[in-house]
Amino acid sequence: VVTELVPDGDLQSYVDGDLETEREAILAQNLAASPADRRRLDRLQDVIAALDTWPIAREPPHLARQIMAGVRASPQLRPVRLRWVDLIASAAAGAVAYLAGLLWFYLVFRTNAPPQVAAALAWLSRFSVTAVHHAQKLASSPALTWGLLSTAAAAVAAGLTLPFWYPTLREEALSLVGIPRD
Amino acid sequence: MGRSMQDADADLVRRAQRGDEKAFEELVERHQRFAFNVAYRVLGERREAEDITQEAFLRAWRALPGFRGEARFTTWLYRIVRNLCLNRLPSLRRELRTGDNLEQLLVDKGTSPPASLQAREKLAFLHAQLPSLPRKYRLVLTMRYLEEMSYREIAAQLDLPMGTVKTHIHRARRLLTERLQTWERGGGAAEEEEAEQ
Repeated sequence: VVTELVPDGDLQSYVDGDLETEREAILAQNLAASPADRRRLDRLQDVIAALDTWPIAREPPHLARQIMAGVRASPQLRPVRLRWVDLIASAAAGAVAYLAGLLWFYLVFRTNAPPQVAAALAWLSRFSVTAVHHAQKLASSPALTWGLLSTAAAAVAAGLTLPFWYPTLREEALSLVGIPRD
Repeated sequence: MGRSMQDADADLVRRAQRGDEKAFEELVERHQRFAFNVAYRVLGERREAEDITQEAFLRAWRALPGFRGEARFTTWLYRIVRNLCLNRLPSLRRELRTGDNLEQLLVDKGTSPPASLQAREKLAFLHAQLPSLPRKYRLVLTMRYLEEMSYREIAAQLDLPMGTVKTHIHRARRLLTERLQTWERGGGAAEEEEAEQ
């Protein structure tokens, strides 16, 4: 085996770690020509023996107890499995939220809503955010979380796109950010 | 690790995936020492190694339901430990990619040699040298000699070219060989060398 592994007694390549296992290099010492090579391989063998027997440190005795205390306080993360029904439900919720969002912004921008209505809308807005927040915390299934996220995203999308559906509203929206009408 | 040990691990992992804390506790008991040693050899600090081991098991517990069992549990666990070590020592990732001025490292000849050259003392001398190796060498040596990984596996896990892994291992061994040579000369090995010539 050794003669197959050592091409023309190329000892240096073994000492340099060209082989996958150092033990083969140690076997090659039988082919070493000079006493200096033998000494070098002896030392390498000692070093490898030391690495093989690198002392294992004893872990602190309380470590397992600490780990398990942390484990008992930590819930496991269940992998999210999306099903088609979740996706369809999320898309439906998103579409409804989008339409609701359009109506919302239409009311705010288009009608001359009295201050009480505006205040009520603002309160509803805050309530919605809080409700979504609590629902997410209580969400027992990933589908509900995804549905809520898609609903929130759709509502934001409605707000952003409404001005493009209603050109007059776009002008009003632009004026809100400081761009004057023609 | 034997086949029965692996099978027992796989069974414990399946139970722990269903939330069985007792099964996970057994996994902790079985593997805490090795996980601790991986961290300890790289970081060189017992307290830090303890924190890393604790954090690694906690992460393993949380992520266990998503563990597909394609790799051994221990392979996965030690990978978490190594990643945490690399996060703790951001410069280590950079050091792994660069070479060293080996001559500079060889200037430090290690601890002073004792008089006797008994094999046991030689081994003790080498063991005493291991913690003083640069940490990047300690990391690859730990993966090679404690975890018994191949060069290819080490390269893949550390995202390094295989040549770099071989170079690190070779240089670490050379460093130790040089220190051993100095130690032997200081302890009377010169007589043996003269006799050989």
